[in-house]
Amino acid sequence: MKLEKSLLLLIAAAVAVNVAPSCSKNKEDKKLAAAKEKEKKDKMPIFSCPACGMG
Amino acid sequence: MAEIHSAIACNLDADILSASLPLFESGSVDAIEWSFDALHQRQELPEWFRALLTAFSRSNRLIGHGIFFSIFSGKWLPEQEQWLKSLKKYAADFHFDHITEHFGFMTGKDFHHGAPLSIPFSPVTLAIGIDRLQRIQEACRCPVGLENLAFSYSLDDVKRHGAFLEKLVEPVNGFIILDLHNLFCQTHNFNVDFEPLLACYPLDRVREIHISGGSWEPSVAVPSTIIRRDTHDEKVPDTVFDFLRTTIPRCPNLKFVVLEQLGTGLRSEASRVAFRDDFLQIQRIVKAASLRATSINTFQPPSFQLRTTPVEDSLLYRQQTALSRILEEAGSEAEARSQLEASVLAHSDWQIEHWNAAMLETAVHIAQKWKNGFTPDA
Repeated sequence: MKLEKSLLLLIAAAVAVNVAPSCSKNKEDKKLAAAKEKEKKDKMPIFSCPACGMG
Repeated sequence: MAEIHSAIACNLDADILSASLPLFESGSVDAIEWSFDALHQRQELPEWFRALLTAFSRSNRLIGHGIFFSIFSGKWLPEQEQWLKSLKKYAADFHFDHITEHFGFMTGKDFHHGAPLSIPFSPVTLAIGIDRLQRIQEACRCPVGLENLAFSYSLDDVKRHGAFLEKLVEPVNGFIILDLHNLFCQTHNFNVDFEPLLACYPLDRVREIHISGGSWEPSVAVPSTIIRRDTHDEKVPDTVFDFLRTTIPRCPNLKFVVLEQLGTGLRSEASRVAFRDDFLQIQRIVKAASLRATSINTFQPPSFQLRTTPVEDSLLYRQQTALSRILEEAGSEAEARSQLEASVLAHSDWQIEHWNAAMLETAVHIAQKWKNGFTPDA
């Protein structure tokens, strides 16, 4: 099914916000990474699913 | 001609969405399946995710898949009442083509802990299951279905599961999700062939098929035995694709084939590429098999009078509570068995005396893995 481009851009942006950099040694970058990591936790819960009963 | 839709299980998870985005961009995804009750960590849906759900909803391509209703709990729980209210609200916001839940009862101490395990196939559990399906149907006003469980305590359970599912869904004109990886687990764990296993299921009641991967776990209780688990964290095995090719032509009412994978298994680029390859493989199989006559059952809800009070059974609830505690606390299969033999479950419909040792050990692992609920690395 075709989705509107504007919606695809919104999804891409939301997913990008949830990708924190992890290789920088710069203090400011680390702060930014920590903030983004927090934002990630706030914005999108991890979906770990026990549902199948064998997982 | 009836069309079969290739779908992905799509939840509010960055890894799932990252892996799926190229498929959305290419317009390959026909439908999405959303677990609407897995949002306990947040109150509101982000607007962009709501927009995604709405887009599929408006094209009749959104299906809902519950996790936590605990359909066979012997006691009617306040959380179940809340779950139905929440479903009713979502069903007003979005058009679900159908709603499904899992077979079993949740082992956990509250509504967002534990994993579903099987129950005795008895008149008591049948009455509870039908009552709960009617309540789900009353809340969502659309076709409802149940998924076959991967976990079984014994070979006898494996053989009787399909017939019991049929008895459950028939009064609500419901359907079943046939999870082919769950059958793959059973062919391995109970050493049965796929064809006779498939023959145990009412294939005219299959409206949805699930496809996923899993993992292998060596048994300590039964040395040299390896258990297949439906962990949804690996690539789909080739055998499961073969099962799909074999099964589709036998399911006249099939409408959706859904690829399921957990976000925790989609963190590397290689795993995301493999996920997309799996989806495209499903799509190729579906397209090759899709030309068929119109569905004979659309699974529309019949009219029925809901009971004023939910069906309950106090003995079943006591047995479930005892089993959950034993599984969550036992240090080994032997310890669990010894506690079970001294419990209210001994010499009952549960037939614990016939439970397969490696599967009891697996039940201990599952219950202990999920007793603390969702964790990032669960």
